Amino acid sequence: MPPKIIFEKSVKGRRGYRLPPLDVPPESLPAGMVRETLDLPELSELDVVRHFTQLSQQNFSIDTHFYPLGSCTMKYNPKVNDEISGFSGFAGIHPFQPAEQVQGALELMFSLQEILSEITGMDAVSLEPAAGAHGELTGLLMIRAYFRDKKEDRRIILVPDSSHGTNPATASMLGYDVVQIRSDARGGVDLEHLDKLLSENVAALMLTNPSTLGLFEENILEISKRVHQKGGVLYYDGANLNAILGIARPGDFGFDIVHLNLHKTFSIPHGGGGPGAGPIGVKKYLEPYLPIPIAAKGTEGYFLNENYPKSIGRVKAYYGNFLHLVRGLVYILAQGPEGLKRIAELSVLNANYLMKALKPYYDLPYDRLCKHEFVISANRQKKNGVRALDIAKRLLDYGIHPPTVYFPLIVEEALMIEPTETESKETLDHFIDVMKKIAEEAEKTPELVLEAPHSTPVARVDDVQAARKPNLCFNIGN
Amino acid sequence: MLLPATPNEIKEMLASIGLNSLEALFEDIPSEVRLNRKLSVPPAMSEQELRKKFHQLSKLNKTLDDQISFLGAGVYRHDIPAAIKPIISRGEFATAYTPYQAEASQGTLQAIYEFQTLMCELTALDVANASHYDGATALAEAALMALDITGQNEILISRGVHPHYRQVVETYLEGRISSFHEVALENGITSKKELERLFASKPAALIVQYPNFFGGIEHLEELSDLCKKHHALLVVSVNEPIALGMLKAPGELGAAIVAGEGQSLGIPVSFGGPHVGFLATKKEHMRRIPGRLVGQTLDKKGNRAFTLTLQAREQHIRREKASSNVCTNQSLCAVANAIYLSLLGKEGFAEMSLHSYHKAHYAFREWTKAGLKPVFTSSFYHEFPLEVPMNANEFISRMKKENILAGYSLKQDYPELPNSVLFTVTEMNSKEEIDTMTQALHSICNSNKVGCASAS
Repeated sequence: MPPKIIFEKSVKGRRGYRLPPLDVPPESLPAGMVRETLDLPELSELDVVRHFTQLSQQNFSIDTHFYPLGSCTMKYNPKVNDEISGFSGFAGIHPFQPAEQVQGALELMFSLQEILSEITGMDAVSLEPAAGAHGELTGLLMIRAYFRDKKEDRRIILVPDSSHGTNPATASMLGYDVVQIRSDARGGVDLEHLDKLLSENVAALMLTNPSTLGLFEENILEISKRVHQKGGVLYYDGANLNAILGIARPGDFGFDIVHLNLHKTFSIPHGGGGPGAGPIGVKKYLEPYLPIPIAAKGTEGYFLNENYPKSIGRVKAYYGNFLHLVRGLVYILAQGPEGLKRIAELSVLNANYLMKALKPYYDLPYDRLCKHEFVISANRQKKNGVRALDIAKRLLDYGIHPPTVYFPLIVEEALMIEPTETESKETLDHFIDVMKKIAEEAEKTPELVLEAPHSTPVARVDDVQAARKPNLCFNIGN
Repeated sequence: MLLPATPNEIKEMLASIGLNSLEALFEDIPSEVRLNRKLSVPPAMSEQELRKKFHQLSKLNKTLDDQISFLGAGVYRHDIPAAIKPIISRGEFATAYTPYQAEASQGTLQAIYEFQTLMCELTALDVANASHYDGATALAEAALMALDITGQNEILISRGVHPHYRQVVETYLEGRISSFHEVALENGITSKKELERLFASKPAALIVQYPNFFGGIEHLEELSDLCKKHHALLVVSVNEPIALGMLKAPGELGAAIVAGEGQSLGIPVSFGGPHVGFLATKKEHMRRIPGRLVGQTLDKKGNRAFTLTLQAREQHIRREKASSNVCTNQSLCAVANAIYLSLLGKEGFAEMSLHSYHKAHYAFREWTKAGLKPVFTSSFYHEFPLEVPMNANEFISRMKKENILAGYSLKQDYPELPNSVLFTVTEMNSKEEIDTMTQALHSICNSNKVGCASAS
C-alpha cells in the first residue's frame, strides 16, 4: 500500500516546530486583511521525518540504482560538492550584501566563468540561467538583440529532427518560426536539406553535438561554414558535452553560443527534476548582449558588473543558482585537466561497450562509433507485442532505472542509453545480462514484460485516467 | 572522485569493441578541431585540498549570522528546521531525475503533489505547478500566461513589484514583443488613480506584489474589482509566502494567477539561489499553466498512484507547440517547502507569520521614535522604508561599523527616494537586536551634523 498523503496523517493540535516566546509587544492586526483559515497539516517532527523518508524510499536514484537515462548524464554526484556548497559562508550570504562582504562568492563566480570559457572555447560566460532551457531562452534573446542591432529581422530557427524538445519550444516561445532539418542516413544533419533551408532569414541553427543519437556530427565544420556564410548564428545545446570534455571544444567547431547543463556534465544532483544550472558562453561579438550581472575583477576587488548597455536585461533574480555554481566549480577542480578528459574517454568507452554487447539482441539503427550514449530500438521485440515502454518497465523489476524511451523521435521504439563514466564494468555487465534476459522474455514469455513492473511500490500507472480527470491537488475537505 | 575503470578493464573493454586505444574512440571528430593540448584548468585536487581551499574562500564572505541583519528586499532570513536538510539530502530525493518513470518515482511524485496542494492552500487557488526556477521567472511565466488567456498583448506592472522581478518580466516580454507599462505608487501601494487611465489600452493583466516590495499590503480586492471591470487578470507576485500565514490569501481576494517565491519556506538565502518559484491559478486556466504537474491516479491494481500529467502542454511532447519551454524546475527546493510547511503546521505557521509582523512593527515604532522618518503610512507586513538623515549608502556604511547590516538602499531602483532604506525584520531578529539598532540611531541623530525627524 502506498503511504497516506500528509494531510491524511494530520491530528488536530499536534505540532512539529516551536518558536521562541515573542519578545516584543504585539501590534494590532491590520483591519479587514487577516486570514481566517489556513489548513496546513498538524504533525509531530517524527511524523514528518518518517513520512518524507518513506516517500524517498519509493524512488530510484543514482545513489541506489543504475540509471542509464539517455541525454540526462546521470553520473555519480560526489558528496564533497554538497558538503562544500553547504558551508555557511556560501549558504548564509544574502545577494544584496555589499560587495566587500561577499568577495569569496564573487571570486568563485569569476573563476567559474573563466574555467567554463576555457572548457567550451568561448570568450565570455554568464552564470545566470537556472537550467538548460533557461540558457536556451537567454541565448535566443541574445541572438534576437544582436540581429535587431544589425537591423535584420530574421524569423527562422533551424533545429534537427533529433533535437531536444526544449529547442523548438524555446524558439517558438519567442515567436520564431521553427523549421526542422532532416537527419541523413548516418544520423547527422542532412547537408542538402540544410542548404535548402538556409537563407538570410535564418537567425540560428541549434545543434546538440554529439546528437541525441549519441553520434558526433562529422560535418560540423561544413555546417558551421554554411550557417555563417548566410550570416546565421550557431547555437550549441550543451546537454551532451560530457562526451567531448577536454577532447574538443564547441567554440573550436564554430559555435557562437553554448549553454551548459551543470546538472548533467558537472555532476550537480538532479533533485528529482531540479534545481539545475544552465550557464551560457558566447563568442566575443555577442558578449555585449549577455544578461546582467557578470562577475568581474576590478581594482578594489571583485564586483558584479551591470554595465552592459546592450544587455538583454535580467533573466533571473539575483545571480544564478549560486550554490550549484559552487558544486560545479568543486567538481571541476577535483578533476583537473587530465580528469576532465578521462571523463569523456570513459563515458564514451562505456557507451560503446554496451552498444556492442546489446547489438545481437536489439535493433541498432545507427551502427557506428557512438559517443557517450546510443539509441537502440525495440522494433524486433514489437513483433511479440513488447514495446520500448514495456522493456523500460521490466527493467525496474531488475532494479535498473530505464533508459530514455521514445526519444529521439526519429527512431521507432527508441531506447536511449547513457551509462556515464562513473559506472563500473560489473554494473555494465549486469545491465547487459538483464537486457539479454528481457529480450528472451519478450520472445518466450511476453506477458511477463507486458505486465511489468511487478516489484515496484505501485504497479503500472494509469496515465490516461490521470489526464482525463486531472486531480492535481488533494481535497482537504474530504 | 575517482572513476572505477582499472587499466586492465579499459584494455579488456577496448578489445571487446575492437579498438586499441582510448583515442580511437574519438576518430569521428575532425582532427583539426580536436584539442591538441591540455585544458588550461588547475591540476586535480583531493577532497582534503578542496575543503581547505573552499573553506578559505567562504571565509572571505561575511554571513548574515555574523552580524545584525535587517536586510531582506526579496530574500529573507528565517529559521530553518533541522529536519529539512537531512531529508532533502537523501540520495533517493537528491539524485533522482525528473519522475518520468512513475513507478520508480512515487516518492518525488507524491512529495510534489503535496507541494502543489500546499501551494493551493496557501494561495487559495485550485491548481499549482510542480515549481519554477524562482519567483521572478514564475512571474514572467504568469505574464505570458495572461497574454495567452486574454489574447491581449500589454501588461501593467506595479512599481511595488520587486525591481529584479520587473526586469525579468520585461526581458521575457521583450521576447514576445509585447508592451509593458509600470504603474506608479501612491503612499507605497499601487495607485488606483493611475490605473483607471492605464486600463484604457486593454491590458491583459495587472501585476502587483503582495505584500509589495516596500512591505505594503496592497488592497487586492479593490484592484481585482478594477481588473474585472476592464476584463484584465489580476496577477499577484508573492515574495514572502510567510505573510500568507496571517494575511488573506490572494485567491480569496480575486487573483487569477499567483506567482511566488518559496525561499522563505526552509531554503537558505544562498546568495540568491537555488530558490524556488511557484505558480498557482484557477481551475479554468489549468491547461495554460506552464511546467510540470503531478496528478493523482490509480495503478493497474487500483491503488492510488501519482504521475506527471497533462504533459501535452510540455516541450518534450509538443515541441514548438508547447505552452512554455520549461523543463528542469526546482523540484528539490519544492520538497523542502513541503517539509517546512508540514513541520510548522497550522499553528506554527500562523505564529511564524505573526512574529515577523509584530517584530517589524516594534522596530518601526522604535526607529521612527529615534528619528528616522516614515516614507509611507499604509499598512505593512515585515518590511518598511524609512528616510535616513543622510545618503542611504552612507547610512548603511555607518551602520556596518556597528556590525549592523541596515537594509537595502532604495536609491538605485527608486531615484525619487535617494535617502531611504528598506528595512526587513523577521522572527530571527530579537528585541535586543532591534534595540541595538535603536541605540545606533540615537548616536547618529544626536550628532549635530545630521537632522533627524524628532529628538526622542
